[in-house]
Amino acid sequence: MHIKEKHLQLLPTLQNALLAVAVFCYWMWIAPHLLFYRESMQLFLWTEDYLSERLAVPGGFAQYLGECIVQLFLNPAIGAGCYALMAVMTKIISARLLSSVITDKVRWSWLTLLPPLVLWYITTVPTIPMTVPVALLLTITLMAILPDNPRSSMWLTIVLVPTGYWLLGPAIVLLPLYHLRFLHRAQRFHIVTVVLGTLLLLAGSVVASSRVVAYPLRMLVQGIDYHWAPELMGDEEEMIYDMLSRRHRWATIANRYNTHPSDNPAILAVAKFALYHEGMIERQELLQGLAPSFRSQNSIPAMQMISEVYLRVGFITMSQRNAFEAMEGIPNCNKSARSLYRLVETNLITGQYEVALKYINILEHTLMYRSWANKMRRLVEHPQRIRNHVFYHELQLVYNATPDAFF
Amino acid sequence: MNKYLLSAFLLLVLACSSTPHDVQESNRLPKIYPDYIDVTIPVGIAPLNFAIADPQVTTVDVVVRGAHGGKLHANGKDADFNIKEWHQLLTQNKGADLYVEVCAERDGRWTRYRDFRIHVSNQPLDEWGLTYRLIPPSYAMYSKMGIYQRDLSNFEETPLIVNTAIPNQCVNCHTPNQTNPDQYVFHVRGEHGATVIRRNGKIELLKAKNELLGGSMVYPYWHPKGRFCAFSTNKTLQMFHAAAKSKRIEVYDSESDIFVYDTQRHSILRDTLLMRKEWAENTPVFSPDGKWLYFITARRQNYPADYNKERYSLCRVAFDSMSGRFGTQVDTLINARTMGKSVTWPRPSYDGRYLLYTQIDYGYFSVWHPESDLWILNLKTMQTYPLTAANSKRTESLHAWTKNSKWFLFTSRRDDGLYTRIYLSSIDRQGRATKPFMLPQRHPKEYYRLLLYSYNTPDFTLRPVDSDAFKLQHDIESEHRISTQINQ
Repeated sequence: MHIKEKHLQLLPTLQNALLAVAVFCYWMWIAPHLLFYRESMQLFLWTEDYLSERLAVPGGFAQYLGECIVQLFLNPAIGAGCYALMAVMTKIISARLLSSVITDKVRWSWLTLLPPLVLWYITTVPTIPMTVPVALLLTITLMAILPDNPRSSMWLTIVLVPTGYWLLGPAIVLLPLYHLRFLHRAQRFHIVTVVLGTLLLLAGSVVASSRVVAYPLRMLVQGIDYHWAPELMGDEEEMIYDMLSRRHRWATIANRYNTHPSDNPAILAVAKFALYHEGMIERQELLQGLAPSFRSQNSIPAMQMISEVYLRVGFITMSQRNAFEAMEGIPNCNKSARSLYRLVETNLITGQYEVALKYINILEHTLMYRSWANKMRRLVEHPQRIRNHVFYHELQLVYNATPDAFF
Repeated sequence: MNKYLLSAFLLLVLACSSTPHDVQESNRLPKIYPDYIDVTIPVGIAPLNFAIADPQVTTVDVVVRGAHGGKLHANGKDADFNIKEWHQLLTQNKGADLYVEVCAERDGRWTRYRDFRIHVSNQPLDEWGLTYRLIPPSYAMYSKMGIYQRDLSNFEETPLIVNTAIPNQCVNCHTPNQTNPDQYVFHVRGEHGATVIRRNGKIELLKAKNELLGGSMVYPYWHPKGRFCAFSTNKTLQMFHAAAKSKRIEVYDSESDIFVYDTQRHSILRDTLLMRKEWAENTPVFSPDGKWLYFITARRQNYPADYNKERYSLCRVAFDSMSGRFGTQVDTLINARTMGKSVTWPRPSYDGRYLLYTQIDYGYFSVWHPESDLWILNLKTMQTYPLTAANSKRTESLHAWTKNSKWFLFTSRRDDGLYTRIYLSSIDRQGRATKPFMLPQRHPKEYYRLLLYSYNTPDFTLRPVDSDAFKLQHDIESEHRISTQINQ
């Protein structure tokens, strides 16, 4: 009996470990393309202006933290680790919340797996930005620190609802609802009144915020950065090809395309370049394969991967346009560090060094692109050094020899 | 213990602020950003804060002395002047020079540069501030953009309408009537498209398109009396250069005409002289007395093949604001054929002396033309010449006058070749521009270098625009629109 109890006590730890491993493996080996996809749509800057811009709108703190995490996804192992950590934290906090309403914790411990599974699911939906899981995680953290006394809990909830709405967005709605846990020990009418009152307070906060921020009321109810319009998001196949092209996995792309051919113009362009790179086709066939993509700006991953290929075949300005359009297409009006990286390259190749320097200045305020930006600064400030850089110098020669035409 | 703590605190403070010592003299002028050396500025302008262009400089120590007295001091990463003291100094030195002494610390060594001057003009700047659009220099897609107003006496910028409030819409061409913030027009493009007109304290939303007109209302300009507003209607297309050095985009119109909108009758006044089939009329503007309508026109070309043969002349036609009728004769003021150049964005000064315009090699959409320069036409002598002091090797474009016509602003890409910034300059008695200065910012180097937006269609505003963004957003999202009628 004693041994069984000991095993039962170990159960949550075991569950946590299994959850962490499962989540990590999923992101590391099954869905890393989603990590890269999210990373493409942020330009997290370590500047006061960036922080104050985020804090100026409801939900902005959650968005700030979310983007701070997403910038790390450039390294998929760190990205997978972040998601695993978030899942385990959600489970631990859920266990604490459960313990306040259920006495038989061991019997119902499986319930604590539900919130992290929901969180896991949410993170796999491309149209739901990182703001949402961060807001949910922080909201349940606030729920966990609420006092066990109904009166104190009520007063703290009244304070936390408007401030929480401003910092985290509508996910804070869970906080008033959590007050329902007192139903079994206090007067029901009183508890329901408190819950309805705090929900009204939340509604008032939402309406009041619509007078001070430039967003329509429907977006404030839904959450400013809680949902992205799906039009330019692309499909999973595009995200996979985009990730592979970004990581220069040309052999993998060639194999994938040979096994599952696609008529998507962007995928075709990437695949043809991969086949050319692997020596399977001639340049003429590559150029024919690129033609359908010339007027194809259907999705952000498509534009990003086309930009990658165009750069490599010497269509510098077309690469530049696709990188810029991909950045402007980001649904929450974010900018993109990845696009700026490409724009540094294209402006360096076309000799627009001051524009390149501007983007370098910006990337130097990021965490993940800073060292690359520093290296590029040395090239841009001393253009004669480009001659020693095989990749950029060759592309500069190609660009300078290209006759002008319109696309 | 407290003594030690105090000493440590003082050491920390001293370590954080550096003052010039063992200064080495240099006879060179400092390289500052923005370049405010020898510029002419009006009383009332925000402090010309600046930084040393050299990124290795860690501290700058600046003393500004007025020829008529007064002194300012700034020390830190930037020269960040106290706003109140700056205004006192400018008021005290109206019509005189300021002498700026710059010391910069690099690698722990201080250098004192040759002093430079800033001239404080006698000419007042009567306007409260500016309005402008901020938009990325995009190809076809756009994300966040907005129309903002900016107090010229400090650094405060406030939004008038930002398209996050009306998602996926484009807002553009905000144009007041001779800097009057009570009367303006701007367009909304997209699902909730409209032409927004504010007049007599009321906002009206016109239907974005009139089918009989064949397109939207585009480039606006108010008649000084406020009843009429001239517009162009354009079918605009874009092409992208594959390998043109320093050119990215060509914008041209396959068709364009001009007309005048009567805000009282919601009617459109057209004339066959202004909508000729083989010609592209564009960018209409009224003379300050309202008796003339200036516009540009070019013979239509075979697009896109002959896009670079399209050259616009500057013309004018009489306009009678009592009857709403146009004259019967079009005068050509600047002939593109004889100049071999193209004229665009004519803007008459409100005192009737000059007409400021942009000259480019071809076409009219000058923002993508690096050869684009500001030119001026003396309307009394009909002499035309470039505003050399205001121009650079890069694009100058989109200009506007103050109500007293002593100052003007324009946008330029001289800063980095792509992102347009606002510059202000004045016209001297000989009709020459003074050296322009970049729109001041609190930390200009950091601000402009991180800003991923271009300034677009700027204008002066006499007072702050009294705008209820919340109501405007609701009006735009509503279905209610006023139809326009066409009068032949």
